[in-house]
Amino acid sequence: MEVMITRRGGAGGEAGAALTAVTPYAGITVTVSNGEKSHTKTTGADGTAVFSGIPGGTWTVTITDGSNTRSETVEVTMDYLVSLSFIVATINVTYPKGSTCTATNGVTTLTAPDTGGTWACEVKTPGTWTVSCTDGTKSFGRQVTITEDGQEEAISLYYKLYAYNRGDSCTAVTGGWTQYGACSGSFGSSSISFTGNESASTANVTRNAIDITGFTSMVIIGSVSSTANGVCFQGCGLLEADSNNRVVSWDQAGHGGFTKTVDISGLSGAYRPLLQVGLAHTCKGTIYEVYFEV
Amino acid sequence: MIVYIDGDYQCHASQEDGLTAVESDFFDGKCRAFIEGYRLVPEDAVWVRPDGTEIAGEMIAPWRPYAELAAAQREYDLSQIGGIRRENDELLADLAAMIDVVYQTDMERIESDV
Repeated sequence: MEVMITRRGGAGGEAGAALTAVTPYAGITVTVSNGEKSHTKTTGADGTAVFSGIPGGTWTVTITDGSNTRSETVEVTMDYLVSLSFIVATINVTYPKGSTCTATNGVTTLTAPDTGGTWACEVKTPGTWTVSCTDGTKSFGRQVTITEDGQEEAISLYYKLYAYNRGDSCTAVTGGWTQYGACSGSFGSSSISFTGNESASTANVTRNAIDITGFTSMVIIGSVSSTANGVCFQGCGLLEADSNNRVVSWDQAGHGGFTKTVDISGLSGAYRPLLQVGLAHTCKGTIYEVYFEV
Repeated sequence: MIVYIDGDYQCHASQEDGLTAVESDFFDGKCRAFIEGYRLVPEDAVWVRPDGTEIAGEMIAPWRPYAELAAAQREYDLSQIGGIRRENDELLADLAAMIDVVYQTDMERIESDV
């Protein structure tokens, strides 16, 4: 139950104040009562009900839709705007500092009070809420579904999400990188080294599937020291969350440092990044970073 | 499997004017709907995405929603399984008929020996 009380300037004091109940619901019953008198109205299409000529004093405001009921007691001394809802849920948002963060269900848009990077966003209407952040040039959003009073959801928004960063396996995101196939890359303090094998694949994949919804590119930074038939990293890509089906595939040919950008703008959902070298001992390469970006 | 790419590197399952043939095992066993929802940038090519990002090959990624492509592929795989099951049933029926002929022949020989 949540009530927001806003006093508005008005005729002040005693009889004649306007008590406005604001709700997210059209067509529900609102009753105001001071124990002696009681008035009932139905909210309009905008979810509000206005009671005029309310004498000063203690009033109980009750909303009901036949199944749910909420009440709050207020002290009326001047015009009052009271906000009531059957549902109050919290979306705990983490977003890049300095960005503007909003939440919208298509009807109501809420804005974070600051750009500090965390926001406990209270929503009062069930349904799907899109939470987004922007720094003016980049934007990122995720959806969350609210169904119950008291529900709490946590979401994190990023413009760039690492799956591997120069020695850091980003375990909180990836669950760690595990061997895929017969042989594994060698995980050092600042990179992953791969050496191919004639008889068995050398590859690693993340344990967790990573939700890449909203990102447009997967970027891999690495280097190649030797190849087989001109190619080193071969058959890399993204695997489905619960199968070995490759959804995206990339190869890297040539020698030296590289920054590989893979288009993932056609994908939504969770997938597992796969790193792999060709079936030859001359396939030798190093991976420094793997990340997703908007 | 050979697929055919257009000027925007989108894949096609059959040859048409203006398309370039590319060999890739990524599409082995894949149906037309799956193939034609993908983009293939060959090793020596660069595709410039509408937002200006340069994507160098080799890179293979869907440009249609992957959920649709996966659903089409599942439907194709199921239809293939149905066909194989029918062939299997026919082979089993033929085998049963052959065994029956051999049995009958053997029984006639045994009875004539008796």
